[in-house]
Amino acid sequence: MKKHSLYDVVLIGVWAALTFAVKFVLAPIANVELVSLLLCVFTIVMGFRRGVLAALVFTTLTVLESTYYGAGDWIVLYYINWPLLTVLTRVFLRDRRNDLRAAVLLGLFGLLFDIPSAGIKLVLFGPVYAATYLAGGIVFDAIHGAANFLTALFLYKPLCRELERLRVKLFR
Amino acid sequence: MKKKIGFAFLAVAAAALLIAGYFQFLAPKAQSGAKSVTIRVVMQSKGIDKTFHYQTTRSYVAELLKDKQRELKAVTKKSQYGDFVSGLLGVTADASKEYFNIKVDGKDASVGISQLPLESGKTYTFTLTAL
Repeated sequence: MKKHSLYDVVLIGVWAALTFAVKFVLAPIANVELVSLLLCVFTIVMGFRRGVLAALVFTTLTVLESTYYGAGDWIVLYYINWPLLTVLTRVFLRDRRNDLRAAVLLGLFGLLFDIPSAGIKLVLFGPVYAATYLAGGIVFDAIHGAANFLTALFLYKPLCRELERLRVKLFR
Repeated sequence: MKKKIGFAFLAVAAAALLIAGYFQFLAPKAQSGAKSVTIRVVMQSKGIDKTFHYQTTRSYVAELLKDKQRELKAVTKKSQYGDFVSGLLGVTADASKEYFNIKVDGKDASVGISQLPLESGKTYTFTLTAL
């Protein structure tokens, strides 16, 4: 890490910014996103530590964006979910060639994305509110899960390949 | 590639099934026939707290707001998550810091106005709320 610390700072910053830009571009399409895939691929290729840091920088960028769109308890959710995704990637995707496993992981991540948020609402507002929140979000969670599955199924491998090429160039 | 397309179809079918299940079993259902409902608009910062009683045969809140446009002066905007109220009684919410919270008999509505069914005897409260 020390040897490449400058590379790391730039790399993590650029990837977080790229992820943020892609999120912004896809924002008009409800619950279709590439953030999950980009953070997952980055963690796979560049390593867990860089992955977590990129997730945290990306989340912080999103939180800064909230000064325009308005803040909410979703900020807590983001700080839980995106770093959590890098942990799940680390645990379940040790074999990076298995794109079906990546698609299943990201699909489930999208489908269950609101579970931590329901937990927050359970603590803040009680079980009825949390259950209503979860039930009301089923349509969006289903779309999120399916979209994540599809994007990972078709884009995971090519993205890993291209990023790996970049990694070899940077860290040889 | 054929295998991947098969998996893709499966994922889309599973999502469609889940969504269909939601609308069949969990989504709020509209009540047909005439009903008597109350619309309350609260904007503490503007000193507004008004209540309106309506008889209607409409099924959803969005339809009632449209019918009573002259009185309620409701402004709605379309978003990816459905229509939402951005203004009432001539007051427009500043989207960067406030919104109209909707409560049905004191409980937060779980869906937007286009899907929120009108039920006889219920009070729909729109409160201008800070983000």
